[in-house]
Amino acid sequence: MSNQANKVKFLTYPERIRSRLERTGEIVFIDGQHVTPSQIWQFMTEEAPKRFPYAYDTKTYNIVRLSDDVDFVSGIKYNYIELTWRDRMLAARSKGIPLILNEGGGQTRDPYYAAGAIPLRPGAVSTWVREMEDGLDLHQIDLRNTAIMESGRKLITIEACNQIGAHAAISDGVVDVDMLAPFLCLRCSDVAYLVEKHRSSQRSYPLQLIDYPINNQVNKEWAVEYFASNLKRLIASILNITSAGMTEDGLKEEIKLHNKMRRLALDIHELWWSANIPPTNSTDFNNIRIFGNDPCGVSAISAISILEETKQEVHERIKNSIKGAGLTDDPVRLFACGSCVSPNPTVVDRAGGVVVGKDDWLSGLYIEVKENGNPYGNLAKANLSISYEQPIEVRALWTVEQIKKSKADGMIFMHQWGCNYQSAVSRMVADIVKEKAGIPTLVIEVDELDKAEALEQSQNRVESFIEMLR
Amino acid sequence: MIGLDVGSTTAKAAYPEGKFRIVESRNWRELTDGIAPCDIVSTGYFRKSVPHKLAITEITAAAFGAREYFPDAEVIVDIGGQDTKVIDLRNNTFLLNDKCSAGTGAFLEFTAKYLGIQVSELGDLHMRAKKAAQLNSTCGVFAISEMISRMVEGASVEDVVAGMHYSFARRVAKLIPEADRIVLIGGTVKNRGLTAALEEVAGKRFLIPPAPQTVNALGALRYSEERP
Ligand code: SF4
Repeated sequence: MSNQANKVKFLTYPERIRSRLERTGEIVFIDGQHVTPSQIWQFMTEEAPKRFPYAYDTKTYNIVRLSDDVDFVSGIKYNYIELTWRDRMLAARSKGIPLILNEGGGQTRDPYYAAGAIPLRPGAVSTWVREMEDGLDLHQIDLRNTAIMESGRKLITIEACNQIGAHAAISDGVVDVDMLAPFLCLRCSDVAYLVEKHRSSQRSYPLQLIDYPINNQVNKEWAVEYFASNLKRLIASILNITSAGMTEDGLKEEIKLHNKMRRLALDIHELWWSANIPPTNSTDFNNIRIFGNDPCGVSAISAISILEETKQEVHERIKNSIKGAGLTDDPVRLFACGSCVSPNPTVVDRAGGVVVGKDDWLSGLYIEVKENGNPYGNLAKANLSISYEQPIEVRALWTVEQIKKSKADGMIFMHQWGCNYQSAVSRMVADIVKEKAGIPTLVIEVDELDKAEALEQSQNRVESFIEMLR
Repeated sequence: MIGLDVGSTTAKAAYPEGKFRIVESRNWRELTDGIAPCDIVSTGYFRKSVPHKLAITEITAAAFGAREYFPDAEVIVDIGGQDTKVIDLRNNTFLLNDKCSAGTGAFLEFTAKYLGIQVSELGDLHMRAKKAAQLNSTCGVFAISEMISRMVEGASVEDVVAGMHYSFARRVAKLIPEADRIVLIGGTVKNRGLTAALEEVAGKRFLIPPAPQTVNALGALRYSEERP
């Protein structure tokens, strides 16, 4: 429509940020690699813009773009962790660290790390695929991701959600992992296709199904014991790959560290929610929420340091009334529900809103695994109590509580086409929220998981909703 | 200040002196000749691609525009070139049909092209129909093959057009909630045959503004006046 639309503007980090970044700590990964802040700066300002131009493309609709809040130093670290994903996974694997695909929700990451492995969400596989080839622009990565997704659809079904692309990438050998370990809880209907893809795959991967007792079994002793035995089997299978050992004390130690990470991320949420002026934009807030659940290959001790730095920075911003970059004054506060897809954070910010929470990741932050006693039983009990995995009414009432805490003005339940369970429960959750929290709700089905372009129509709905709330 | 609605097919402008202009979308610049971006409130799918001071979605624009003609409107049905929007003003909710061309202007264009006629002729052809052909499919692709079958059986072009309008109406009517004051807007609404079919299928009379195609442009203009 306009020539201007074709011009690409790229994000740059101004030199003035460098000294602030250099005063922060280094990042330590579980394979022992240390990265100094100077190396992070060099990567983010010199190497990554050439290798991953799409991430620096500042188009509002670019859902894989970096946060443009360049002054939020902690945000640079989350971006570094994201953009080095593939390099780091390959390096870790070459050092014998197993990579485990862990689709399905209903779980904490402590057992994987305790056993010396890195858990990979399907979303992380997509990140890996994006980073496979250097120099691609937004359109090119979108085309490639779509091609992989279509290959999965052709082989398995057209009815799966877009995460079939991640399964296709694994079974076609584009991405290599050591084990598939889906959790059989209700949240995700894609697990069925993961298993099916595994069966018809040319490559053979060990498959470890984790049976998650569904339908509110948390207070039943048998369920806790049964689920604990599944977790024990998962850890044993990972240890089998590494031929390494793990003591119960080692598992307890990892649980303690992960509890601390989750608590810190939750503290940041409570700080953020208490502020009159939102201290970060939606992209950075989302990154904190995800990292609190999943340290993405960063050692737990280092992840705790990053979260502590983040907490301090958020605190400073609140004290100095600094608003997240890209936000309007007094933005409409949106709480997001659903699974795997969320309203595009930049679109929300530009339209005059801000995302104050997302139910799936947020429910993970509330997990407090007991630190004394049998660690398997404690993990099982904690994982069975995740609010997101409870009966719909319980989940919806927990959501109402979070909506009140986060002072949300509206709720969007967004679900990916093909995500059958979330699609089925969306209306009930929205109706309960509308009644009990007294805020408007919007249910949207989208087809944007793993897509970076052509999302105008769903974004139009989100913008319309924000305009209505204003 | 002007309201500029640049949609998938046409661009519309509402000027403060009460005038409207419509051109093909690709010629939208003709509407803004001599007007500075700071004097434009844009809407429509291309709202962000054209110069503007403020860009609002068609849903907000429709609410502000329809109110001008019908202050007590309850529901707005906007049948556009690429999607159909149903906005319930009573509880601030909306529904969009944007995945399937059935029930959108694109479906009408598709049919007109197949029949070798102009979209603007569809309304008159419908009015001349003796007996609407029975088309059961609401899917654009299957509807075309049904049209072929009906013509092979001897149905006239007029009857097929009327049947297509009923098929379209059945699709759209399903989206409309129960309400007394429903406003129809969008370029497609100029098609008399279609609105007649929609009223018959829905079993109610609709409110149609004098210039249904420019309601969103007017709404953008009104928005800028009410929320400068
Ligand atoms: S979108 Fe739904 S079905 Fe797809 S992976 Fe996510 S939870 Fe599973």
